[in-house]
Amino acid sequence: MSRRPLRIASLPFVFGALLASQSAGASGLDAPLVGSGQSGPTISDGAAIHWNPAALADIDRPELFGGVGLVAGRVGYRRERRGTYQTPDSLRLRGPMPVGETAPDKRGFSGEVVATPLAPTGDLFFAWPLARRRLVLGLGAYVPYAAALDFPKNGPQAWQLQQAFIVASYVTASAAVRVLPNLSFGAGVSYVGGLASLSKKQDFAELPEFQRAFSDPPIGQPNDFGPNAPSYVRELDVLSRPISITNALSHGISFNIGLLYLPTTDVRLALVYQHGAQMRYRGRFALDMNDPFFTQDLAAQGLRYPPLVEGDAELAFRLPKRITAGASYQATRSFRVDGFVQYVTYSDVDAFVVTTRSPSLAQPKLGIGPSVRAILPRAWNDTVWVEASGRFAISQLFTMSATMGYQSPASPEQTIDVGSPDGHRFVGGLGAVVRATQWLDLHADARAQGMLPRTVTTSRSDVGNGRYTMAIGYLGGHAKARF
Amino acid sequence: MTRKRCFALLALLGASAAACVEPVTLSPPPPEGELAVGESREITLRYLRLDVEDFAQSLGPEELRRLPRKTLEETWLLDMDLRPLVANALDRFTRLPEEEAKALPQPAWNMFALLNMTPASARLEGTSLAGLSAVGEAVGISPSRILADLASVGPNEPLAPRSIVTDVVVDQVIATHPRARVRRGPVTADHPEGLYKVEKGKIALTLYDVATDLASLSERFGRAPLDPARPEGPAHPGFLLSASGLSTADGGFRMTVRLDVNALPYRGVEASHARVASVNSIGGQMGRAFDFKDPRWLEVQGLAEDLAIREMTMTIAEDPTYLAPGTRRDPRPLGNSPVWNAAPWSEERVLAETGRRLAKHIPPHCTTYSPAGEVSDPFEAVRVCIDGEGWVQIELDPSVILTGPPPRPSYYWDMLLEVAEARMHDGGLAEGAANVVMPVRDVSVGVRTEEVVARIRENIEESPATLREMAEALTQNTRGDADFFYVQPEGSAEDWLYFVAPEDIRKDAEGKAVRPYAYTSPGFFADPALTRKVSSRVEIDGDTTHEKVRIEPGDRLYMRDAEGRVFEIVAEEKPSLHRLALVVTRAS
Repeated sequence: MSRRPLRIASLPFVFGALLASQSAGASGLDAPLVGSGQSGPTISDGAAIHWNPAALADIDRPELFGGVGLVAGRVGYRRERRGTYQTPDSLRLRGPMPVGETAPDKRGFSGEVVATPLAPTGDLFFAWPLARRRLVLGLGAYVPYAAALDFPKNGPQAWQLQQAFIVASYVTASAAVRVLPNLSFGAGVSYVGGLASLSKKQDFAELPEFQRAFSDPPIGQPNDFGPNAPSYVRELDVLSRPISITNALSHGISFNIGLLYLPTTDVRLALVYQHGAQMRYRGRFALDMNDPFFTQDLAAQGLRYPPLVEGDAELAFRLPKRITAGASYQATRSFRVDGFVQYVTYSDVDAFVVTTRSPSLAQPKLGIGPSVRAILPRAWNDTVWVEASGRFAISQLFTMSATMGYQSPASPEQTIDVGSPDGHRFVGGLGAVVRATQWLDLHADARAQGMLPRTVTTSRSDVGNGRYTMAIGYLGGHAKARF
Repeated sequence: MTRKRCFALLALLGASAAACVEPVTLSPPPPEGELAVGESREITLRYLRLDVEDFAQSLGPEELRRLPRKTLEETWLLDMDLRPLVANALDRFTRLPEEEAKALPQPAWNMFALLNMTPASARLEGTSLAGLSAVGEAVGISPSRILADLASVGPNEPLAPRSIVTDVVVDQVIATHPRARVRRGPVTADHPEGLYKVEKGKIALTLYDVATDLASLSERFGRAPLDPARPEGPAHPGFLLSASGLSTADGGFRMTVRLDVNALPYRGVEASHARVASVNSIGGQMGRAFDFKDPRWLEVQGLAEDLAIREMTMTIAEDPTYLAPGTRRDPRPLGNSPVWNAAPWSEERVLAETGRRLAKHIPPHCTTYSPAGEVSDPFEAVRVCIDGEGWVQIELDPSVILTGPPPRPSYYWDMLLEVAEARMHDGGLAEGAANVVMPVRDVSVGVRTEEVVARIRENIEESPATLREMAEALTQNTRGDADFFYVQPEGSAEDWLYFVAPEDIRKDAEGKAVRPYAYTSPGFFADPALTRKVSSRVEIDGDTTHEKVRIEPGDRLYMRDAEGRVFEIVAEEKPSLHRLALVVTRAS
């Protein structure tokens, strides 16, 4: 049986789109597995550190469980511009656009852009029973997320994302206690580390600072800029400035707690709470302002950036909480079914706060300080994830499993973009376990998930309208050693 | 993350190198070197408009100081009448508390005493008028009474009313200053030298004076050659040692103009290097930049209700030589004192002129004085007369015997001059060291603020050249030295090349052109020999100043730069609606 990891893994990915107000959605490119395909909230293996620490209580021998995998995918986006756009080499600050100043060719579907992410994932868990069937300690390191996206630099998605490289890893220490013969309790504390880099075209038309800088003295021009800027002032050549954020590191803390209840010998019930975490990715940014409009034309009015602005960048957001209910039933001696339902409070993610700091950012006459803070509304929805698996033991040495699942989207149409191609997703997986020796099991898993093609027509300010497709595959193997 | 670190991390993770995110860096700059003969370079120009309305540009003193000095100096605000200012200054000076006045330097204290001199307080020792004391003693009459009768004033009234002193100072000292007679302004047909007359008794205030908080006044009205063409020639010593602080309300002085323009410059080409340059576009839009019907087109804020100068020190220089009072009636009407040949602004001349004007106000009269006490046969012991020409005679009865000589006949002004010169050197001041220095504070300008504001608005509005200079200075976005630039007429997507005109030449911080307009063949031609001109000064958007030509893909033009090099310009396919791609080749 295969399992997806907590959707926490997808959140770093939104980083890729954060500077565009149209930032990413939810579980875009999660690493499809933590642990093996046999792991889950009712399963007692080392990966229970992640799935349900209470399940560690059933481990009666020290166990080392680890593996590696490769995630490959295809993310496709065919942008549909439904709004009216100004000719890109113009600069009108507000509508209505006169005839001749609109770009008729900037309407309808663009050619599809594709990213083919390829990223490794891996994990290592150790469980150590201290008092036989009473107390088990665990320590795990796993990468629930590793993604790389490389879209065309000048594609129609460039204002959402050009490149992104994200890794998020957890190091969790857990403890499980059997409080009753059929009831276990477990908890874990996690260090959440993240690394991210990304690049995109920053549309200055959507920055509130820029809106104010132009509307207030000394420029004092009413304008339609700002986070809700209409399409006709967006994506202008002069205001589209390449930006990169690199080497952004995040350090956070989270925890999980779980219960495992065995009402009969054949039935296992699990309830897990995964707490959220406040994440702050801190790195360096570089912003290409090398256009005379920004470097010299309005210098007398106070708009004078250096050609290249560099400084510190920070992205802050809150990881959501998750509640998972799982159940398994040993139907026959060789066949078992299990499944879970997970409720994720993605509505916790109401906005991303991006702060860039550099003395070169300051434009004092325009009221722009050395620190620019942008709040990017997300308005995500809570999501539901359900999965069911069947496991069949062909022999004492060989077991096979099959999985099916579904994830509901977090991103509403208003805020979706290519940074997190989010939609109704279906999951399928196959797994196998071979008992190599008495102390060693080998696991092999293949997993695929695909999003129903999602056509978006009501994206905020026409930023993310279009057709999204996504397919992800995972291939990996694990080894479980008992001592 | 650096590429190297990224690769290292990916190697550890076994991930694709495609995952590495390159930090944003700048594209390498285009070649900057001068074109060799036959060398070509491609260049793309952009025509970007930023049409702004009510583009309110506010200038405080600090911003004003950044404008070119030439523009500031040529932006005339008003001619300030100095008569009330001088009157106020004299009034404030003479009303200083005595203790405060005593603390002043000796020359200032001497002047304080002199201006406050009354018949009763006059000290006549050391002058020929000291004989009056002897006369007084002889007949038992106080000399102050004789002096008061002679001057037709009360014993405690000032001998020199301030109104007369003010007039003299204005006429003799201020109006004679070469920079008070004219002011600088834009060169026009009516004013080919850029000099404008200033009414007598006034000085021109410009934006430069406001920008420098009036400190420029002492520079301008300090020592100055009478003939600007001969800096080493005779000079006026000046009348302002220092001035500062035009009174302002909270927030300080600010001047705000509103423009409706395309605020961005044109992009042009500096042909010799085939590089992009910028040409300020404001000048070509001046006809429609300001809405003079809207009173808000120029606003002045921050001037105090009652305009005053915070600190001002006036000075009148003494002639280095002693100018003796006259002793004879001829030559008439002034007598024989050398003071009348001195410069009109010299202190002695000012004193003499003051005396002369005072004399004009004294009706011809004679006053006789008899000895004090009861005498059986009264007789006129002393007779003091002043005639209509100011000639004063003091006659004594032969029976009166004096211990010293009586005052000799002289003009009234010569008498005063002698006394004044003596008193100005009190305290042991040497001849030539008794320059008058009058420091005063918070002197009312004598002009109402709304009048000043109205004048500022009116004068700037009437000077298109100043408006242009100001507007260009407010935007200051000419960069490089373009030979021609790219324009799309309003409401059109046609592409035109404009050859630069003299006013497009970049200016330095002083507002002066950084290079001469040395184009011998301005315009565009169809052949490398420049015999077939294809450009003209056809009117586009009101502009008839520039040589211009419409250009389309495939067109080939030739032009000569200011150094005489000829360049070929070929228009390529347009990269976009508002862009123009050109190939510039140096032909010779």
